[in-house]
Amino acid sequence: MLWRRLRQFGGMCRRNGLLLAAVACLAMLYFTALFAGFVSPYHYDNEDRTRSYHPPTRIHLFDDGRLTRPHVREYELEFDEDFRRVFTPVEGVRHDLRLFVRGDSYSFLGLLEAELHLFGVGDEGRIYLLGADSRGRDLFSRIAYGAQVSMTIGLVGVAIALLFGLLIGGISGYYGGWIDTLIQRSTEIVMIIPGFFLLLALRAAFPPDWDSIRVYFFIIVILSFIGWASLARVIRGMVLSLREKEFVAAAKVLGASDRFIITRHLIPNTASYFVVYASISIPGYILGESALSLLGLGIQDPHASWGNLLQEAMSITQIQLHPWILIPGFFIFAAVMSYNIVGDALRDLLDPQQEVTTSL
Amino acid sequence: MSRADAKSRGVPETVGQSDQILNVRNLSVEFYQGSTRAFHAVVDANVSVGSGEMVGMVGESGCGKTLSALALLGLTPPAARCGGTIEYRSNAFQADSRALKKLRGRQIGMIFQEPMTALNPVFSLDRQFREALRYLRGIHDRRKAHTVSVELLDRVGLERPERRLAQFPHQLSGGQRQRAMIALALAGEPDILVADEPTTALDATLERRIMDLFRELANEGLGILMISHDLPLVAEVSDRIVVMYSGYTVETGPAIRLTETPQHPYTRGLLASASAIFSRERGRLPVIPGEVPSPEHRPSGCPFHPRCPEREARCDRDFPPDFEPVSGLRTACWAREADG
Amino acid sequence: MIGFTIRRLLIASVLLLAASFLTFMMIQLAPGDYLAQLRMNPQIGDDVVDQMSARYGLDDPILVQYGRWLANLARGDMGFSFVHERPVAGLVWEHLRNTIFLMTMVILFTWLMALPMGIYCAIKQNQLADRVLSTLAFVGLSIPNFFLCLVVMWIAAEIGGIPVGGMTSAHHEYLSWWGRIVDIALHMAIPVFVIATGAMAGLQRVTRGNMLEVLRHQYVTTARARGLPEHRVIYVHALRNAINPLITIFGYQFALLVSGAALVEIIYSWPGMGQLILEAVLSQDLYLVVGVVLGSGFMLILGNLVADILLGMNDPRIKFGERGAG
Repeated sequence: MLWRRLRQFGGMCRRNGLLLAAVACLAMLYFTALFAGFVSPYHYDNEDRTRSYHPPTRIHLFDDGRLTRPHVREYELEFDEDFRRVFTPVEGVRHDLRLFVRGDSYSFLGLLEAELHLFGVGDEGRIYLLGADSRGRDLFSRIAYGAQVSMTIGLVGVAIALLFGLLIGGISGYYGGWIDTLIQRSTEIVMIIPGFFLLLALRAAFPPDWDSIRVYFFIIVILSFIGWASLARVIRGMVLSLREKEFVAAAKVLGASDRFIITRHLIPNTASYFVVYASISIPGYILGESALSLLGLGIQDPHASWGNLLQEAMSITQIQLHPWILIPGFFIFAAVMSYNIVGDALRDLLDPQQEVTTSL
Repeated sequence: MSRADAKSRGVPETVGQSDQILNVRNLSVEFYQGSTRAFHAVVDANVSVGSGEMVGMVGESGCGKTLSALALLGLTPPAARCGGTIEYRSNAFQADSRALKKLRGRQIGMIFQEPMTALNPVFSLDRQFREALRYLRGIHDRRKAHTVSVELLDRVGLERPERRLAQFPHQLSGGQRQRAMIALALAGEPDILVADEPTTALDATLERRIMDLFRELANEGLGILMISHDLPLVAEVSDRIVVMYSGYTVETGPAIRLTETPQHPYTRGLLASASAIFSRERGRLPVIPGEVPSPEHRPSGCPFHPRCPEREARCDRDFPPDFEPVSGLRTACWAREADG
Repeated sequence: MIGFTIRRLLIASVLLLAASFLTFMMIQLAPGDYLAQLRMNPQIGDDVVDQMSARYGLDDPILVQYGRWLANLARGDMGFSFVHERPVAGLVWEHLRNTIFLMTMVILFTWLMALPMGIYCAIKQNQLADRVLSTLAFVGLSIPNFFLCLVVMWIAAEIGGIPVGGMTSAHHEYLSWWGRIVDIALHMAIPVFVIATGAMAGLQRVTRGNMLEVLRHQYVTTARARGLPEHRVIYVHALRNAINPLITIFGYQFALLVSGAALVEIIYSWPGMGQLILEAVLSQDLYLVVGVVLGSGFMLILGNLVADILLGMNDPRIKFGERGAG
């Protein structure tokens, strides 16, 4: 069953170039998140204040008109008469770009310490593929580390929301009566407040200066808290209608246990809905985290998430002077768009009738 | 070669119908997928309707009846291409021409199978009538429009028309809705009314009354082309009948002659299965075996031959020309060659 | 219909009160509060803080505090904002007004743009124009509001001429009434465009889908067969039927729209509810947080109510009271 669906999905990818691109984009982002330490040339907190707002480094292939190995130039920070940063190349100094170099140590998959990086220019020079932030940290490296937060928050969040939604919605639909009424009213209370305001109000309940790991899990919890309500209502409806279905009645007549009915009948019949639900609501989690971090209520410096990387872009003057600080936004955009495309395709494949709406 | 024969059949010259208003010649509808022809849904249909005449077009579903009707007004779906000519009084139109639009409403009115879905659910009858009267008759005055609407509803026998006008389609019963539909189709004062299975969705008693209404309208001078799968029902009220099978016209003739002495095996089958339903002899129904082939998988030659009890060897090769085994009937069947 | 509206409003008010209670509890139970922050401020003496605490009864048990707040609410008093040193009710009302004003413009703009686009795409199904517009809509649906806002503000700042923040210019007070309207309209350009983009994209897609479905209905063919002109068939007969699901969806998506707008308001410094809740949350201004949460819930109820009324006006088949509230 699963295998057949996967092959159908593969067929859709072959026919639809956009879908293929979206899947490839997601695969790349998750790869980056998983191997962030390896992919990025620097540690996320490796700063060089003499290179504050260093523009993206050009990679040169020619030196004095001759083709050489790829290299970068050395730049020197000066200020012009308006106190704007100007980086001027230093004559004669070049740093060769090399693959698999040793650099900042990082923990590889959380298992072992490693120093190997995909590329780098050695200790003397610095390479800023996508420019530097105010403290001279490499934006590319920070985006790679940020992917760890932004790309996982949706998966974990949806998993938690599904768990609670299933449990609560299932109980509500299965038992009915006053439990059902109570649960329905609670979901209505959650749903009567617009998501963003609920998000901030929940955030207000906890001190703003928590460390990033706690904040990370806390954000997931409050995002799924907002998400479970609508899901629980949908699941309740599904349970109610499935209870009436003939195959369930038939199984009951045959003396099947509740557990048998749930694992053999209810879950297979609703699984496709959850797959579609997950792929369609993940963008909401990514956006929710970005919003919180952007406002300084989420992941805190020095840790990186795509949202808090954009914090520096909250000032228009900074964007005008250093437009590359907007780049993390493109990553959020790419991730959200890819998930939307994949979600659309999955809906076409699995669940042509169901309308699924996102939660945030 | 069969195609050429079929084309030369022309309009059936039937008794006493000199003043034909609508003449459809060699109408064909083909469906295309991209630029390649997928299938031929209607093949060389010929129909004429005169003033005060009621013509029945009969066949099982999937025979191309509805498509022929839609083609009359240029309403076929975009994937379809139409051929042949449609003559209305002294004007001749190519079946594909956009000019057919001009006929809609004012010259040819049309009503459809489902009265449930054929009236726009969000507008009151009053509004739908006013709109039609404004665009088709140039009546802008509300009071005038109201008076005319009441007259129209009165003419189709809808009770308490004033009250009905204020209502929305979902507030009417099925029969009321069908009458309202007919009245609306008459708003443009057409000479011809095309009715596509107008009574299929109604129960039997209502069906009778609506059929009687059509007969009355025809007696008042309206030409009616009635499309139906129910041959005996249509034959009772119609002057002439055209029997279609899988896009082909298989038999035409005066209604009485056609029902009393049907010549085409398909027509016989239709009549036999209808009477069998009444005789309720279960298990021994003389129905036609099999079903109408879809136009994509139409058998060669005469498309009826796989189901035909009088099948001959040549039937799967060539479509027969028209014969006249009985005076007034035109029958496209090889088995009638000797008689014609 | 009036009875239905009242019943719905009553249920919604009860739910809102419950939400306010939960918000109240959460913030009070949270570690650290506004007074604690004040105490840490060396410029404010402990006696001042104690005085404030006594004045607002912040040392009483939580339930007593909530009871007092509720009693005050009945008199239209939503408490006092410590940060703004003003009653919450006035503060919330001012910001709510600005947000509702902005949202109204956004919704008007969204519908005026998305409906024609959706209809056009449905008529030109699978042709080039449809593909281009539908792709654009998909991009618009996926681009995060806050990111689009930053990009548009940046572009506007580079070009110049359009204000890139706030609701009024510094010299607003000195303008003629006409000048003030133009001033505010200019300030609205970017937030309206940004918020509307996402909403528009969604609406465009749904409009297209609905139109395609409605155009297959028999009453559309019947209307054509009746001899009505094509524009009449599409813009009157088909559209009126295609709009119903749109209004329903509008009701559902209103919450999303309010959320998205709040973030854009913050980035753009539009003096609306978004800014207010951010300030309140950052300073743990208890009464203000609860007040804003109430206000935002009120907005949602208002939006859904408007959607219901519009739906009832558009579709004669819908009778109020047959569907459950909530």
